[in-house]
Amino acid sequence: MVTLLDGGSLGSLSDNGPPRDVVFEDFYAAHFRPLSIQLFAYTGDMATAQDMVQEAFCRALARWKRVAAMDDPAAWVRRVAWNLATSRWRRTRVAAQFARRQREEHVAAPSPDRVALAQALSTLPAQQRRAVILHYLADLPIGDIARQEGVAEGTVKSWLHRGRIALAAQLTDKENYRG
Amino acid sequence: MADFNDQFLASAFAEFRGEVEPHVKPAGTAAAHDTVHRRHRVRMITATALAALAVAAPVAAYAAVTGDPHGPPPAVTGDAPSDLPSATSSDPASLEPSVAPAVAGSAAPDGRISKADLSNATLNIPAWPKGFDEICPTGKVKFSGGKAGDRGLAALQGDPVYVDVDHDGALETVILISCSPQGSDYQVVALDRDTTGKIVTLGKVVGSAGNTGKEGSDIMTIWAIKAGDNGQVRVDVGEFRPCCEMAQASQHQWREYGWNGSRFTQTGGPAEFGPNPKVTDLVITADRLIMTKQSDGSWAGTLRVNIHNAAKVATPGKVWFGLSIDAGWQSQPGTDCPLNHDSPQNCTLPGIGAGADRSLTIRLTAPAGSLSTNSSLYAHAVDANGLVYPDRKEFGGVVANVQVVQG
Repeated sequence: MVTLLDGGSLGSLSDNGPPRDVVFEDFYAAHFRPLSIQLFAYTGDMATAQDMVQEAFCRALARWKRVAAMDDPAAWVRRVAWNLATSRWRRTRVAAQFARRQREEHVAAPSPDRVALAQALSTLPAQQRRAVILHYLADLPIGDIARQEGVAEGTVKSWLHRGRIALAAQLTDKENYRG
Repeated sequence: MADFNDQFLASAFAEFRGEVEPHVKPAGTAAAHDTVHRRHRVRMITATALAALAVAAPVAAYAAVTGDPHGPPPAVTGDAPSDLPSATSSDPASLEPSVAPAVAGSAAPDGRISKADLSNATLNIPAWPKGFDEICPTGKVKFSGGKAGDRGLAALQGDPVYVDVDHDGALETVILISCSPQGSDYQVVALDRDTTGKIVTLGKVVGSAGNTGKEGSDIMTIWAIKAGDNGQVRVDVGEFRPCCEMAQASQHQWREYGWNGSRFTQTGGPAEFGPNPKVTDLVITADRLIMTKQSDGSWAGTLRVNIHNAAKVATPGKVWFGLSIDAGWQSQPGTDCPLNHDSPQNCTLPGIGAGADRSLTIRLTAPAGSLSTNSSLYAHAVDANGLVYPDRKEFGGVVANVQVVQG
């Protein structure tokens, strides 16, 4: 069974083995948005999130034959994108991105009022935040999150447990406050 | 409450997904193709420019000697270095290499550091394990000739390996460092260069547990490192930390470690050490030693000892047998195990096969006077240098007391 980790699906993939003849354009169309949403939830910055996802797809394209032959190309791209989100690559690009954004039309982002969840997420420790996002937005099973994070499944369960409680408390407070 | 939280959050995230999705504006696959092609061209130009530089130096030397500024034929062809993008290019994406190894012009600094440079660099060394952590140098440490710290306790081991551990498109440097105050502690450290070229420490890949770790199960020795696939670091680890007359009994076990964005974790290879054929399982037993008074007042008796190898493999070396008795006691010629006069008195026997026994009959004499009432026996497997292999029961089975009685 090929697990498509971004919540999307690729019609050309078989359930009984590695994907064959995966077209890069179809792959990009199926996974760019879900991945960008995940990284936006993690970074709180839509432009940065899209930049990192685009970079991950560029790296996939540069070795597309090899990536397309993998059991789970989406997992490869997701891992690269998340690595970029947490890596020095992001930090070294911050200044350049800032300068570029001064020249480019600013990418429209969801307004803070509509993304209370993103605000609540930003208060979680990074590991809990990643686990919660990968669980609820990427729809990954615990085992896949553990593999991506390089930790035991029990550790992921613990992160999820704590993250859930903290998030639910914050969001419930906000609802009560509004209500 | 847990179910409620789960449903509540699932609904909140679904709503979030729906609200955010319209704001995602993909740059598109055409832009991705364009980026990849541009990077490919940058790599090609860079390679050509580096080749040009390789030839330019001899040309300059030739010109200096001959006065001919054109240098010797043949001339270099290809794109001029001026075609290279400058470091201040307005489009950083065009400089980002898509694959390792890194090339000139990469946005991520090239983190490859030679052994020669490392050997005389100031490195930020992570903490050493408990035990000798106050002696082994940590923090900013200046290496000289590959060594650092008091009496050169810390030393770079082997050659560095180069791995893109953080998947930023540039290679980092991974090196094995030891610190040997009494026995050795180890750590594998990933290093990189920042944008100014300064060496920075990315993190500790893995380290030994030190002399407070548990031998046989913790990582106590690190033998070597290799570059793995896809940014992984392969580390050859062992489970014993030999010190002070102990033989190195560690096995070789390759484990893989990867960078998860904030630290290194094990990503492959076994998590536990299996049975170790160099760990013995010896059981020593002895009858009561009956000493009979001789006509001249001295004592004589026969000690019968059995050493059983309870392991499923033969002992890894010869077997050392020791007998702790008062000075003046002597083994007699013709005995199975002629004892020397060290303390304890001892002899070395051939190795013992799996599940086999070695029985010893030792005729002993003791000088006239009062007799000790107790004596200790020891048995260990030893290597060619007489260093002792560990035993499964530690001291439980390799020491026995023998009761001495007057006959």
